[in-house]
Amino acid sequence: MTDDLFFAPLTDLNARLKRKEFTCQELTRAFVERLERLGPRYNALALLLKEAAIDKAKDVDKELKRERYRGVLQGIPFGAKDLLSAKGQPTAWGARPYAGQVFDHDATVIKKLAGTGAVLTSKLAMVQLAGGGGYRFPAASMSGPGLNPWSRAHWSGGSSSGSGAAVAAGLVPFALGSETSGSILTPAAYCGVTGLRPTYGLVSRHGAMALSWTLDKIGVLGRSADDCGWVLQAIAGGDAKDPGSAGKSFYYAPQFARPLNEVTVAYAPVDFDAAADPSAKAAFQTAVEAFKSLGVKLVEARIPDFPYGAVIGPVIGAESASIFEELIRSGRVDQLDDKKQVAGLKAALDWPATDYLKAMRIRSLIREAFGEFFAQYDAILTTARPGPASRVSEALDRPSGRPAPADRGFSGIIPAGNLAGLPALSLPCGFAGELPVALQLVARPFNENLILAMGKAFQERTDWHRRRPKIS
Amino acid sequence: MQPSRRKFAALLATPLPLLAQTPPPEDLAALAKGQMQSTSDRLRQFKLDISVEPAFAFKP
Repeated sequence: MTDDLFFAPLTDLNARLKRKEFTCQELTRAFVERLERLGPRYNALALLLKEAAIDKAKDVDKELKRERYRGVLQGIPFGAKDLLSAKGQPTAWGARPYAGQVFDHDATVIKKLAGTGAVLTSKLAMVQLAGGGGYRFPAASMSGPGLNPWSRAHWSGGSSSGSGAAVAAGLVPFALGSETSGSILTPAAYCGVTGLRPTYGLVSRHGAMALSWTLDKIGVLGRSADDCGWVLQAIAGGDAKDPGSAGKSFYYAPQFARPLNEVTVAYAPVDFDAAADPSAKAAFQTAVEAFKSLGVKLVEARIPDFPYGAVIGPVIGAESASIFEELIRSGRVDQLDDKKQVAGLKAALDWPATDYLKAMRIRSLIREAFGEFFAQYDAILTTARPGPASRVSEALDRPSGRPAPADRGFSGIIPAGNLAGLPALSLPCGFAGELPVALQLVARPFNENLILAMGKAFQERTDWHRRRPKIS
Repeated sequence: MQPSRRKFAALLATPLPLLAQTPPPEDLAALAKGQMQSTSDRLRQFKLDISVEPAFAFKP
């Protein structure tokens, strides 16, 4: 097996399994050995599930032998952020106070993927408690700081740190992550992989650690928009065990999305210029030109005007303080690896109910405003992050050193998109030095097929998503 | 007072630049409270019509 295999599209891997070029056991062993060897190099691995994966692969091989085909994900190894429970296996949520925690059930998404014949090889490292309380350093994880496969001196992003790094380094063909406000888009952008944050409620969160009941989403980090689409089809769907479930399914059908020459995309030039890190501007501007060539109509617009940061703060703060109240009041919170996060969680117990409710009332207006916005535009094109990954040793709350431009553009789209429950896709679009940078597409709720179709078309014209870090 | 073995191990494992950048716990607590206060102040400046309901609904 060559290195190309570790970076192959899901449809290709599945077709080769069906053609019996290799067995699922061989494929799984190859990925598991690579994960075991390289995962610790990036602090990407929380738990290797070698024996369980090989057992599952044997079952898949029996099915393939009988030509019982289950779809694109049959026989494909994958990893899951350690925030998702896998029956009988430790699920630590990246946090020392929960080390050794074991659940007696699989998360719904793990169960759904098992049903398609996908093979769970690993639990992947994450920022402790998905960053609840607000962390200062990338080292806020019991696995250590997530290291970027493009440069180990840089962060892999958070909180789905291991999911981003593992896909980028070819340790898994795809990984599950989660996002409350930026935790899929950030590692996807920093690691140069494709990240899909689904609409709130489209994917069940049963069996996932809760950080914020009204914001949490489970999504995908993969090698391409196409791969993310196939995985979303498998994990989406109603679930009575998730009170936030929208009760909707998703069928990946980018071919039936509106023709791109009929699509109107809102964008703000400032996002790719004054609001961008100077090292990334050239890559962003080239990428916007490539995007224009898809034939979409790009129209200048601005994000609806709301204090997004001030709204999302008390929502995450009050909900997470309630979820982790016992951890905080017992003092076990002091075992966490980031002292700012500890202080943030303790302080969050004191969010006034009036602030939480005011934030949730403003959130109603935000949802309405985006409803009106998407009556005019089909999607938003902006940056996934304004620049490349920061250095592992740098504090994440340090000032950028750049003055905020007077033109707001789509600044604040990550908290805004999460508050409004909108789907978003992070697409690798070039490099700032040795580090990847990415575009972001956002659409109205449940319009994943449109952003996936645009992402697929962009990736048919560019090769950024096929670039690989040098791995020694 | 002697630090516990776990705290000592954690201290050894922490890169020096990170230690140099970490304020003492009492400053971090004050910082967290200060950030909450400024967020509250910004929220309170936002004027809402009395009829606006929160973005969640109780379902009996």
